[in-house]
Amino acid sequence: MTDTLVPEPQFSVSEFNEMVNLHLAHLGQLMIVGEIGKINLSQGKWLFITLKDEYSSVDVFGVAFQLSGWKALEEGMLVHVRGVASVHQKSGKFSIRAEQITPAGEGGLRLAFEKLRAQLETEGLFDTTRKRAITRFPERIGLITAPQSQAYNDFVKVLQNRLGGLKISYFPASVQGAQATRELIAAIQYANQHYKHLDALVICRGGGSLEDLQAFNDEHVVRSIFASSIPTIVGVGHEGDISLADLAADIRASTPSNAAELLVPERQALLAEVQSHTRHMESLLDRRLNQYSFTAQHALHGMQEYVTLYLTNIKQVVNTYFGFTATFDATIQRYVTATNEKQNTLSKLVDYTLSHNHQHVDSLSRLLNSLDYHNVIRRGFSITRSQDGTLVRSVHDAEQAPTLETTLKDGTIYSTVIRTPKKNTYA
Amino acid sequence: MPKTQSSEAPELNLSLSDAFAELESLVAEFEDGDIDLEKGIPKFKRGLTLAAFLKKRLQNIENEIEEIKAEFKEDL
Repeated sequence: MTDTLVPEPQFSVSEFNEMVNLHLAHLGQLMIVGEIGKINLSQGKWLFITLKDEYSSVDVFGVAFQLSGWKALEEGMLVHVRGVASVHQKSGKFSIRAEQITPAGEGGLRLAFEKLRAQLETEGLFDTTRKRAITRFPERIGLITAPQSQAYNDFVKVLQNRLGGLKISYFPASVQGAQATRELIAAIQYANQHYKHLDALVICRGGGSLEDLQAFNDEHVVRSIFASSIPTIVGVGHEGDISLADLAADIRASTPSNAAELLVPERQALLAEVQSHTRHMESLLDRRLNQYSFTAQHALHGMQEYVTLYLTNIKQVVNTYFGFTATFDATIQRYVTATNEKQNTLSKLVDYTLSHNHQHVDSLSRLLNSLDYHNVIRRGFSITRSQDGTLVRSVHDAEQAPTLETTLKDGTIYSTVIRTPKKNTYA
Repeated sequence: MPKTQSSEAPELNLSLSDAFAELESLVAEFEDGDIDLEKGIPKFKRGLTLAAFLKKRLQNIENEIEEIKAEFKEDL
């Protein structure tokens, strides 16, 4: 038998480092508990931590922005580091590449909680002026909590007792443990991306220790709640517990049941309100009807008064008219009487005058008769005229007329003028 | 699944919020006192319709729960 010489394997440094990493990869994800001996941020991006316990130490490396709440870490703090072991390909330096570093133990958690709270408060994540109101009647509700949990049962039960007919979109997510942070963030983001119409997003879980509630104090979870475009209600733990998620929510509920109470009004109260509205409206309408009735009666009364007054006025006018007519009649009568009297007087006066004048006429007639030349002729006088009828009053007149005509009481004498000696007998 | 309701109440295509807001707005109009009978009575009738709708809506019907598990977990 001859021994077969197996050549001793040789590796280049690169191959060696690569091989070690392949072996280390078999370890998978590890959780290491230790105290932060030293912490250093390089170029604002790379976080280098020396993790130690009483006997040993190990280097931890992480990308700062991937490590939620890294700012809360400080030297001397006990932490849980979740990550994988590896050697740096170039330097061969062994370290734990951290994917998550969370404070461990009540003291560490409290310290980290206060530190993160102060930081987020400074950034304005808890600013009360930025809180949004949830609609009075949210009908589409998003719920993020652990499946089959007490929180789920409490919320759903209280919600059902208060109001029905609501649509609940349930996003199951771990609320505790290694996956809690990722699942909560994914659920919040998924709801915001695909269920934008939700009226409210409820994130809740039951009570627990500070460590149990760690996911609700995780910086990324708190920021996701703050960034939610859907208004949020966070109800974590029993009354008295405060998480940073509570503070970042639009509405902070003390418990999951309280979240349901704050979210929707109670149906009995609403029914009472509907009843009250109906009665109030009925009473107001009734009052309005009474007002109309009063106004109508008032108007009717006014009209009656007006008609009465109008009729009274007409009566007065009629009475006045008839009074005036009577006076007018009396006046007319007086005028008629006076006229009659005057007519009689006048008639008498006319009669008298006529009579008087008649007598006068008779007298004058007699006088006239007495003066009539015919009567004079009858008494023996005569009238001499020329041929043309002209009265011969003097000798001279006879000289002009060759023939004269003398009228006597019993006839006419035609004579011729012979001579006309003048004798001034009646001059 | 919502329980079947009595058919007496009117079916209005309104949300709880809209129906309540309309009822409150009608009450406010009545409170203003300027409403006349011609408009008031139809509005009162509308108020009664809304009240009947709301009473029906507020009955003890079940909430509907939809679990968004499969699609949501794919994002993780």
